Amino acid sequence: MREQTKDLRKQLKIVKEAEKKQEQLLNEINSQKEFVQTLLNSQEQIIITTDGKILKSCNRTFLDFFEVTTMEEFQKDYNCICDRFDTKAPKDYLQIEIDGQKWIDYVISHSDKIHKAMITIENSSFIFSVTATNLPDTELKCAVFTDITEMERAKQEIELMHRKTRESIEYASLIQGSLIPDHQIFRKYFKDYFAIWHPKDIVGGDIYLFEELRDENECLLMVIDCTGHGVPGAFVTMLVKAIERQITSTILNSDEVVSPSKILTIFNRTMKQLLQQDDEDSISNAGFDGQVLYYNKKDKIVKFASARNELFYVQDSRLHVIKGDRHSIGYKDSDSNYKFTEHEIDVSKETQMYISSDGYWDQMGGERERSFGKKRFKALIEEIESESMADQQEEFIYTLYDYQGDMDRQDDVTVIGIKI
Amino acid sequence: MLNILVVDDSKSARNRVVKTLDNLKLDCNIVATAEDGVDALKKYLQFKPNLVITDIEMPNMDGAELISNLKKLNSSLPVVAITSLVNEKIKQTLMAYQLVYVVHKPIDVQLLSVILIKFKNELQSVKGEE
Repeated sequence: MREQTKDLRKQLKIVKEAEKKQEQLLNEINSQKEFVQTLLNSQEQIIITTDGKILKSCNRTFLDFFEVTTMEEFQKDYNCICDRFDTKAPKDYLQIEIDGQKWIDYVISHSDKIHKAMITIENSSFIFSVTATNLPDTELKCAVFTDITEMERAKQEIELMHRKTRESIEYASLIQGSLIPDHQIFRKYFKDYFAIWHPKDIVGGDIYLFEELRDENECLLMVIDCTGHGVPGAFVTMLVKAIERQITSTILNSDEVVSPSKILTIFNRTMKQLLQQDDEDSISNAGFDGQVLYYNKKDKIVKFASARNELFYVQDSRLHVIKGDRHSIGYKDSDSNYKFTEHEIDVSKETQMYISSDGYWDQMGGERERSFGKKRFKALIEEIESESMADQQEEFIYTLYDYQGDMDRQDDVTVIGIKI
Repeated sequence: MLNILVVDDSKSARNRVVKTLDNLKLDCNIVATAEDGVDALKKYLQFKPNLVITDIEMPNMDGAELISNLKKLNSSLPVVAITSLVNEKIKQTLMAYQLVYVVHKPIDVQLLSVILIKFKNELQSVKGEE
């Protein structure tokens, strides 16, 4: 009897100890649960567990977002967060089912993609990026919803701004394009010709101009390479065109002998004046390099003056180069009274002339990633001068294209070839 | 099959386009080449191509005038216009015509290929409807 009582006491002690351990474990689990819930509640993202159709648990952010106090309150009207996905959202947003899969299974099986969900509350749409994962040892899955509404709105605003800027520049390029002379006019004066005009961006700082003067024998051709490229360059080209029209109209109303040197001087003074570059405080340091070529068909002469860039011409299969003066047009440090050198070329023999901005020979490329250079430019002319102007144009375009290879275009490119 | 007329005053440009089309292997047939707009109009009437690839800057009759004349003869004729001037004004003027695409030199082969495939599909769908 005593022995039995002893055993019973022993067993009772074991049961009590087991109960105590169980209680301890339960406390531990509860405190872990509380810890996890506190952790989840501290997150700014909405975090839920679900089987894809029924919501199983959620955090505080979820309750706050849907303005409910408990999950059960939410579940009075909806089973799952997916019931709140906006069905009018764009095509690439999550819906309850996608390609025959539950939304959460779709997110898990396409983890390489960015998933977005739209939830609309009282006419306000919120956009979330959604990630999800399978939970171990259970059929449940966990999904995290990060509110990216502000980011998406900012993105849309930037995209809209970018589109508007692009449209505006494209329209500007229409205006700049209308400055480019009609190509048929060249054929009135020259036996043949070609023109390559490739702005680096939608608009550019290079421009070429052609003007018919007092009779059908006289014309002016200019290649102008303004400061920079893109929008600032394009602004300067518009200014150049306005000055050029003024100069041409003065020539048309006078009997004076046309002088490219004088034309460059007028350009220089006017640019400096208009941009107030003589003022010490002036912040404008714009200008251009360029060539002015005057052709008199009757007298068979070409007069040429240049700010920096060369004139290349071929007579009797021999290449000649006339260097430009080392003085640009405009810019703060240029001399308003500078007199440009004027060159006269007898073109009674067949002559081919080439004028270009520096974009062609400054282009980087080749195996050694160096600039194309004037040496190659001259060699190219010597190689192709006997071909038709149309074929020469092809050679100019594709030689540079091949040389450039995978490198970026660095500047606007303009090359004009004329045959007299 | 695309039966193509290639127009350019540069012989090397014509050869380049023919070679490019050959490399694209798009079931194209170059029915003729022409060296200006006047020549191209004659060849168009003679060979009845279903696509024209033309340069813009050419003597005698330029690409813009050629396209205008071709469109009077056949408004649904697809045309690829190629130009050495990256000029939005030229592009807008030409693209006012239906089925005219503008491509700059140097030719972006991928872009040309996309345009040709589009024209080819359109041609096939028109044939299918007939």
